[in-house]
Amino acid sequence: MIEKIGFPLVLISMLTFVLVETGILTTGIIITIGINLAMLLVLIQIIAILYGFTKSLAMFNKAQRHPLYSTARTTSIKKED
Amino acid sequence: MYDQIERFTSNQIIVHFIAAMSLMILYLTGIPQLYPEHLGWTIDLVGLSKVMFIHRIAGFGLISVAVYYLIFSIISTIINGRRYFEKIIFPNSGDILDFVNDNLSILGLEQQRIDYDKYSWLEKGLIWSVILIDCIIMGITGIILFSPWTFASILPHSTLLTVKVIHAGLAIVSLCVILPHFYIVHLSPFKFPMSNTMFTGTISEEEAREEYPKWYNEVTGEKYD
Repeated sequence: MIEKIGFPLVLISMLTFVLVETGILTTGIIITIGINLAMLLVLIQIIAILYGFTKSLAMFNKAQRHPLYSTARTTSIKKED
Repeated sequence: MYDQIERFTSNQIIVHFIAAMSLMILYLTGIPQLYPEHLGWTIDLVGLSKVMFIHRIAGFGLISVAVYYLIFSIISTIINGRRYFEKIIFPNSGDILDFVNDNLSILGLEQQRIDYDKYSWLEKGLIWSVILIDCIIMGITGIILFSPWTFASILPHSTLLTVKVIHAGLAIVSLCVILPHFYIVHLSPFKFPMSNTMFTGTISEEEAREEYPKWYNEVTGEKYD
């Protein structure tokens, strides 16, 4: 669902800033919704960054705890590649 | 055969994480001050003094990471030579051709030809936007606004007001550059819910072949049409 409305969401929030900064429309419910939408997208972005970074750290930690993990083995695989 | 191809180093991942987090916090704490009639409720939640404090801490984070990466780049250039940075950061003739082709294909005048190198023209543009707007201009104006009384003896009042206008105006420009980036890496139907490349540092072989064919050919030595 969100992947289908992602483009309009971003477009609306950007157009709102264009409307406000050019002085075409500076007040009203549309502007309030648009600017709050932009802030909501920023908030989602913070959650996504935190989630992605934590997940990759957890994966890295899990890989290092694996019984077959060793730095010498990783180096030799990289050399083979 | 490669399952995953290394795209970003751990250094780049950490720098991106700190810079992105700082930028997002700067937007969340800065934009409401520009539009108090629309976003005043966010300031009321925490309080203006705390919002300003968080904004300055985030600004310090972004400037620190920019200075660190500048020093890293200089040392890296001395050790590895200029070619590496020229290849990844500076636009070349191929990027200009890609830019023209992509825009013509959007207008329906030409068929899209995806032949990107490791970083496409859009990604290079984003890097330069962050360097020029967020780190240099916003950084300098931010430092001046951080303690205006210090600069009041050096700069006239009108200049300080201009600095404030520049800082506010470019914050909107910066947000309008980052929002499409957010769409491309998170909300786009091809990437939803998110692309993990910037966090794991690796990209799948299939994704690399489809999105960065020129770079894929270089890395794997395979020819892909």
